[in-house]
Amino acid sequence: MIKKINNYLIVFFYVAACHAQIDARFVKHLATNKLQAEHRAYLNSFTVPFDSLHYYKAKYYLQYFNDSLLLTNYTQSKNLCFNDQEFIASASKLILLQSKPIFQDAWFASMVNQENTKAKKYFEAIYMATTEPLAFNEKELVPELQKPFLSYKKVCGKKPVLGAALSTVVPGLGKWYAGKPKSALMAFVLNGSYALQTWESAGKLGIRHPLTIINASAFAIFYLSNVYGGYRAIVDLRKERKKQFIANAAGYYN
Amino acid sequence: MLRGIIISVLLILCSVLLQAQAPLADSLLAYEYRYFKCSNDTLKQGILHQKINYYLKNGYTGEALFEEHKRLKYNLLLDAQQKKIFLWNATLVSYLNNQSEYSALYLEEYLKATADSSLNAELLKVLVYKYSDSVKVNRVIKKLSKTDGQFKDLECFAEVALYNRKHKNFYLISSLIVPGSGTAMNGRALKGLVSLALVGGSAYGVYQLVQYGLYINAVLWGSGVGLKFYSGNVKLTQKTFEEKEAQQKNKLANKCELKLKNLLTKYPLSLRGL
Repeated sequence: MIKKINNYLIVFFYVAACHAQIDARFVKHLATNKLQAEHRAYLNSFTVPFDSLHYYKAKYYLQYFNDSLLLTNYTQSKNLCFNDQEFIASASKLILLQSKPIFQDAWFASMVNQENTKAKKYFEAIYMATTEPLAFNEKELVPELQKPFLSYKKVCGKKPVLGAALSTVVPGLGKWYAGKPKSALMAFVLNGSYALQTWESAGKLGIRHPLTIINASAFAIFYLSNVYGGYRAIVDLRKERKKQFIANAAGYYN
Repeated sequence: MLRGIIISVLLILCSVLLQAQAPLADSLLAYEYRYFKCSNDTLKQGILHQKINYYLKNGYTGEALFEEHKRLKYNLLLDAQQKKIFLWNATLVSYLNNQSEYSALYLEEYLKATADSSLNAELLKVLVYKYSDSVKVNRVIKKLSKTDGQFKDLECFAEVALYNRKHKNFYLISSLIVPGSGTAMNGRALKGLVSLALVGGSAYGVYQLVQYGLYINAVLWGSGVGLKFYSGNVKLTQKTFEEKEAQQKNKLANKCELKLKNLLTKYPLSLRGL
């Protein structure tokens, strides 16, 4: 008898929970007023998972950005999420701007089989442009984004190793190659000065004199830094231009 | 059978008791849901006020509570007493959250609504304006010291607000003439000595290079390293001067805060309506 009652109770609570409806207007109210604790408590009050709950949770993790939980909930409510183009656009924007490549790959891979909407097409193009810039045709982008993309693509065509090699031959040349003429001139003057000092002291005091050794050491340090700097200049410039391009693209949408 | 029923009843009672101790977020959610469902603007503010009081009863005075205060339209609170309580608490919560502009705003509104000239209200004025309005604070202290001479101790806040270390240029010029001297006078004797040694050593090195006829070395070491040490010595003096200024200001402020703390123990300012 008791067993029966218990079974009925379980079935009753299960059915009640299954029929629980999320009040979309209330969720919007919580999101607009940035009531994070209440928002989380409300979503957690639904114990039985269902599609729309995952959709609202994905939106929650988009607002209080957590890419891992956003992706988890998104994959469990893909169709619902995909109907909300504003959500797709905002999530793509934030993932491109803030997430690690592994999350970016997972996010865009999950969109492959979905319908081709404006947001999907736009952000997929941005993603492709940033992951494979050399193979990407700039004409696939809106005209306003072509210039920042070309500037990024141009840097991607440059090789860091070549930058280092150029700096080895002529100090500062690697930075010049990276497109930093002021920095290149500075490196050239600095290395030239130390070389000149070393040459003068070696000529007048001999190669074993402490001053010559100090000068030669300083020259060696600056020379090696200049070689590494030639390499870093291109790597850093790539990152900088990529960030700039994504920021422009994210800002341009809408 | 009977044993089964008793166990079930006990289980239900336990679950009811557990439900009764809902966590803070759940209770806040309940208030928020009532607020959301309510269509009357005045009633809404009442519910929000209850929510604020619930935060306070649970000993929470953080940023989320401050944000709730900002949401409440206190002009719509019908109960004058409720409005007074809200404004008083809002002043204190804003103060605790280092929101000086809001605490000043709420205090002004509170004084407008109540014309409260009690000792507590005056003390709250000191708390809110202590670093921003020395004239007002001094006026309040004068008034308060008629009740208790100990309040005169709080005059130090005006000194803190107006504190500026003098003769900055003297220290800088001193370092320009004798490298490191300004830094040493700012209480950093070792750093001053290191500055003197570096600049002096560089100058001597350049002199020796000239003596040996190493003119390129002399020019490049002098303009590169020597000048860097010399300008660095002046910058260090400026930095140590500012550090010392901030240190002394902090020292004064800490002393004042301690005096204020003692007075607040004697005349506590507490949240109202709880």
